[in-house]
Amino acid sequence: MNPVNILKERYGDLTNDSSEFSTSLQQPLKKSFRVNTSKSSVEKVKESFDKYGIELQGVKWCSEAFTTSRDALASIEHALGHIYFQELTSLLPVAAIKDVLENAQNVLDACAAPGSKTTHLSAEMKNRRCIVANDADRQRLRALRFNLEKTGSLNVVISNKDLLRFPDSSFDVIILDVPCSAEGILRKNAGAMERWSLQRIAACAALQKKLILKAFSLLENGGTMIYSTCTFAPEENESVLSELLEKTSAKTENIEFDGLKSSKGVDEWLKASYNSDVKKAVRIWPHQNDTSGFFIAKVVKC
Amino acid sequence: MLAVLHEKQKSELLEFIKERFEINENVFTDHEFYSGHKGKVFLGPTNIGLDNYLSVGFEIARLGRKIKLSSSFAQLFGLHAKKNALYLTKENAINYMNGYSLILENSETESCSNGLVFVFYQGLALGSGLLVDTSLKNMLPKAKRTEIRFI
Repeated sequence: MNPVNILKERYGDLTNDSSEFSTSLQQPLKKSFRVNTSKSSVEKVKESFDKYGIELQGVKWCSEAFTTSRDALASIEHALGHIYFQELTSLLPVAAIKDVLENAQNVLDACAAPGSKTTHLSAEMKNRRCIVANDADRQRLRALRFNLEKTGSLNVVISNKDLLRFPDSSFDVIILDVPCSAEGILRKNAGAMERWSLQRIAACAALQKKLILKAFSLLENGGTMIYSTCTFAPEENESVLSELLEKTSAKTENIEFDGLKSSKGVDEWLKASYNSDVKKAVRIWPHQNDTSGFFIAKVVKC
Repeated sequence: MLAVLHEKQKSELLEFIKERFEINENVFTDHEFYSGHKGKVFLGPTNIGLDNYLSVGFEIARLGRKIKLSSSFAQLFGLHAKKNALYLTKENAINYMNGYSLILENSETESCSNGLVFVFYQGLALGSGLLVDTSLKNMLPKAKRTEIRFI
């Protein structure tokens, strides 16, 4: 069955506009980048691109992000790491905790490779204090290392551990962007759903529940954790979040992004009911802002 | 195995950076120097336990018979340099980013002495090179060489 039809059939009712949803899934994504403020500034980049005649469109909810054409890939700014190409929704985890990062001392990016969020964290923290960028997949660490060096991210240490076996530690901020069924990135990668199945969703969810509980155990009291996925499946999103809320002292917090259209988390799906606080989580459907799909929740440890 | 860089080696490195480029050590206040295999020096966060980590920050130099600073160091800290800063024309900057070594005019190189230089195009630090008279050997690693159409 066509992946678009699978997604429309499964999630159409959740989106409140299944026709727009399925249309958006078939359209290519715009190229987008974030200005790397460790090496440059929004003003300098805008000035340069104006000189080149390359058009930039600002992103309302992230002042350092722009959409543009492929030409930007051939710019000196890209070559020197002054701009970092990443999909718009991957900006959300760091955007959600900018205020918290001002005072954060020890940050964990638990599934870090290839480094979009790590490098964003590094820039937001002005290349100071410490970020632990962990990934269990050693092959993907090469890309992470490359991106850290290219962006000048000095305040990062790399670890290669299975998160479930991560040594006892205490972080004041954790970003947990978990491996998932990746339904939300169909626009970016047509092959994203080649291995899709309900069994795969269930397997992902089982692992994600273990990961979120382990990551939460590494958070210090009063610390903040972001849980995010690029999939639509409530089994991997609200169900996992609900597991955390039911079993620990975690409390969800509202997240607001200026100018970003979104939907609330769902507290019921098929025959399952979830902790009502999952409604504070944010769902991004592709047709809402012309992006990939995304799910993000912010929790604190009480 | 990573370790905090020995004080003597750190002093030598900082002295070289100051003497060659007039970059003051204050620039590195928020970071720590670490030593790795084969004389590699990394710059990374301060106050970390090293047992659990695969790598720290990234490589900025190699110590040996001569001190070599990486192109990543040049790109990140080059704008602090007050000496041995070599400015290229637009055409040469594009060729440099493509990985070519360059033959320059006397007038372009007379402000620098032979040896390691930082390479610039207008306000952009592109990397590093080895200058011998008017000949600039490109020290950009292959992975960073790329075709530039907009500069």
